[in-house]
Amino acid sequence: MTTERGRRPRRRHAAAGGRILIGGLSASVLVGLIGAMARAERPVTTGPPPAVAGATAPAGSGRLPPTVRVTRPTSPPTTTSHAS
Amino acid sequence: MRRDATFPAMGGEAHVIVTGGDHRLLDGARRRVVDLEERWSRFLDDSELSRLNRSPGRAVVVSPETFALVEHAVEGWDATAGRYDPTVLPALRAAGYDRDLALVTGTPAVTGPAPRRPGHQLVAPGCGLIRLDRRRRAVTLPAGVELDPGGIAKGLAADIVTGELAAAGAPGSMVNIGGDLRVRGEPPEGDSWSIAVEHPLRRDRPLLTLGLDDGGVATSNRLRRRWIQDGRPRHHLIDPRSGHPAVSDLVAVTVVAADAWWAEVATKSVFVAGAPASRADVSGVLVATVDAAGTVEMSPELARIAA
Repeated sequence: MTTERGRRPRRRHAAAGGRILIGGLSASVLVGLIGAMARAERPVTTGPPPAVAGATAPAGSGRLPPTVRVTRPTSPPTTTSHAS
Repeated sequence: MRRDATFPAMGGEAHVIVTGGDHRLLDGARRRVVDLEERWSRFLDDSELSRLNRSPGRAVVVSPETFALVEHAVEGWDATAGRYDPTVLPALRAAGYDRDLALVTGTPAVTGPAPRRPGHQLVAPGCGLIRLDRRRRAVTLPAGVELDPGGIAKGLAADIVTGELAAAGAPGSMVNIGGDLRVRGEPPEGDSWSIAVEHPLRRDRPLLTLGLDDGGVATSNRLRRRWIQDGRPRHHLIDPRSGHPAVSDLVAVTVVAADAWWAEVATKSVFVAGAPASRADVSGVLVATVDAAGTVEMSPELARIAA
């Protein structure tokens, strides 16, 4: 499936970095990926450029295959996706 | 070993599972979900997002998490051709969703009409003029633009927290916030994480149950979060093109994607577009839809495992 602009969002590792999740552990252990991307000294290398005034994206074409794989489960449900 | 925590968060209930790893990981994850809500909630006056929304025209330096939220929201707006639009906040307030509404099942909660500002534009202005300064980690919202995190925050929080758990050594984790969830790594049992998807019209069985190794699942429907305004039924899924609750035959949309934030954004896009799963035009995801007549459609990959 594709958008009208023929682009899909780049997969992101959505973790904000630099935060110690567990007290007592070394800070160097816990560096989130999105935090690393957002730091000034490490420019973001994925995703589209920041939106600018007047930007118009081109129309897309074609369909992209799913980037996620599902299987028939082999155990009872652990959780439920539901509306909130 | 599996450890679970369940607690209120982001207007619903959060459920976190950590399989293996240090026993302190679970409590850290819970605190992190709460931390993200405190940064992003539009119902908290001192949240980063609320302060950003009150600062039109000014470059506001925000935390990495909040910058990521805005950046992903703009990306989602762009990738869905504006069908997902985080700038619907004024329209949401005008429709009556100006406070933390209680969930309803059955009889809608009744609220009075929300006051409208003179000359208020309901059509969402879009993200085209939002400026993101990555070097300074600053966001500038133009006048008239306010962001609603409601269509992306739960999924993004689930992505962030499971990512941090993985970085901290958790062999596997699941974060489900209000039904929008992300799984990573080793499940507590079986070959993959087993996830049921709620059927919007039936309580006796799920719409489907799927196995997922790594990815996100999000579900939106117009039946749960609804109310009455000026004698008319309203729901929270705003069509950015009109500024009013979307008119659609669809009652529920579920999306499975590589990331939970994209799954959540895509549910809004599919719902606003109004087309069933067979004609859903969103990139790289699996879709299941249910319409008002109870007709279910699914992407072929979902239909195969649901059969």
